[in-house]
Amino acid sequence: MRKKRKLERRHYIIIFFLGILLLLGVLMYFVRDNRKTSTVEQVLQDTFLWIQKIISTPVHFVTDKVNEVKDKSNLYEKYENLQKQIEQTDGIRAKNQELESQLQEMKALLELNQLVYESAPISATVITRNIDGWYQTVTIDKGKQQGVTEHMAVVTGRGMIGEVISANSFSSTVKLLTGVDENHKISVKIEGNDGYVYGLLSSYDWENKVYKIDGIAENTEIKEGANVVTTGLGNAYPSGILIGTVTQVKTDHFDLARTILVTPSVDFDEIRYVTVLKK
Amino acid sequence: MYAIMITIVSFLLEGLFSCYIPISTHFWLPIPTLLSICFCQVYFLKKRNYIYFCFLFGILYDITFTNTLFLHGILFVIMGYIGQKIVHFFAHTWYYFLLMIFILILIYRMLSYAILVSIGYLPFDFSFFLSITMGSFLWNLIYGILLYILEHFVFKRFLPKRWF
Repeated sequence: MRKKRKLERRHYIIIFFLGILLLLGVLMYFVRDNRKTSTVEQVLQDTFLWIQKIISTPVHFVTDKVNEVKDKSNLYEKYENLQKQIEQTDGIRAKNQELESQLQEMKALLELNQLVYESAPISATVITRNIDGWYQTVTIDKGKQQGVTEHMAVVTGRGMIGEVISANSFSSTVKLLTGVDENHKISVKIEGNDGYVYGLLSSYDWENKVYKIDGIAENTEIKEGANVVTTGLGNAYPSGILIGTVTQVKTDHFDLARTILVTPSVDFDEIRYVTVLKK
Repeated sequence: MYAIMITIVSFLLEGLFSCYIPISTHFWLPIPTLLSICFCQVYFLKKRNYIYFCFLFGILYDITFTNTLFLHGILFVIMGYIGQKIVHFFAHTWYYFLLMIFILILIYRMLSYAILVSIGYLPFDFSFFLSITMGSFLWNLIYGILLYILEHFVFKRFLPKRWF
């Protein structure tokens, strides 16, 4: 009788641990960024986000009005700065038009259908963001119906914030660059003295609030303040999107490997209106 | 009815607050949905119904906020079960209630991080885990106090104790 009880307890323990392993296996399948969501999930997500959008609209209206009042406090200084920028804009616009026409001529000459920098923008609003801390995602109010698909770059006026990892009919989930890790590196290039230096954006340091770029092969000198942009190679998004500026260049003890610390150009605490770049 | 109402309001508040809270500081990380689910156990006669309730809202949370499935369904069930067990050890005063919330948040953060690291979704970084966990307490304790006040000064006067 006593032996039978001991056997039963052992069985329960084995079943318990097998259950844990099975559970982890199931979670491993369902908890990943590139998971294809089912139709039911997409419909549910669109419905809840639509309700969320309706509820948050009056709150956004009030906060926008409050921000408007704050912005009015130093209007004259802003006006003077804008005047100076306008004087420079005409010259930049003319130069841009000349470069654009030369580019079209070269495209026709070389019979190229598309260049890595070209994109079509889709404007969107952030409805929610995951504040759990682990996921680093936001949800926007544009989806497949508006032409959004996976792996498109998402930017604000200041630079890139992330890429689309999942697109429903009327909403999409964007993984922020602060959630980049060793499994999802992004190809970037940095302005050096003798041209661009190529590397991989591999992680984000939360303590110092900087990106880390590694995989730098060349010995080209990189100055602090140099711009870091996307290359458009190996990803579905265009080249030339600003990621940030170089803060520090670190080398290891043997002076073989370099790690570049980059301050993001975007303030991730204030993301409301974004643009999805369709390549 | 009131359990569902409180949880739905908390659910919607979570989406609303997410647009305004500065995430990078890791100082204000609210999880009102989890708190309301742990709070609502007093409104359930049958434990089984409460577990179904936790699982349902966990799945909805996954679909809406995380783009995953089953993770929070399982986590909320575990937290609901733990909440049911530990509530008997605490007297019904506001400071013991806050202590209970503190313990539940700690367990929730540890469990979720352990699962995400085990399945390879996140790399192990103890300082990151610590900053997220420490940032979860303040806002959620304030929200817990609000729920306690709501229950003791509003619901208790006007509503029957348990519905399910």
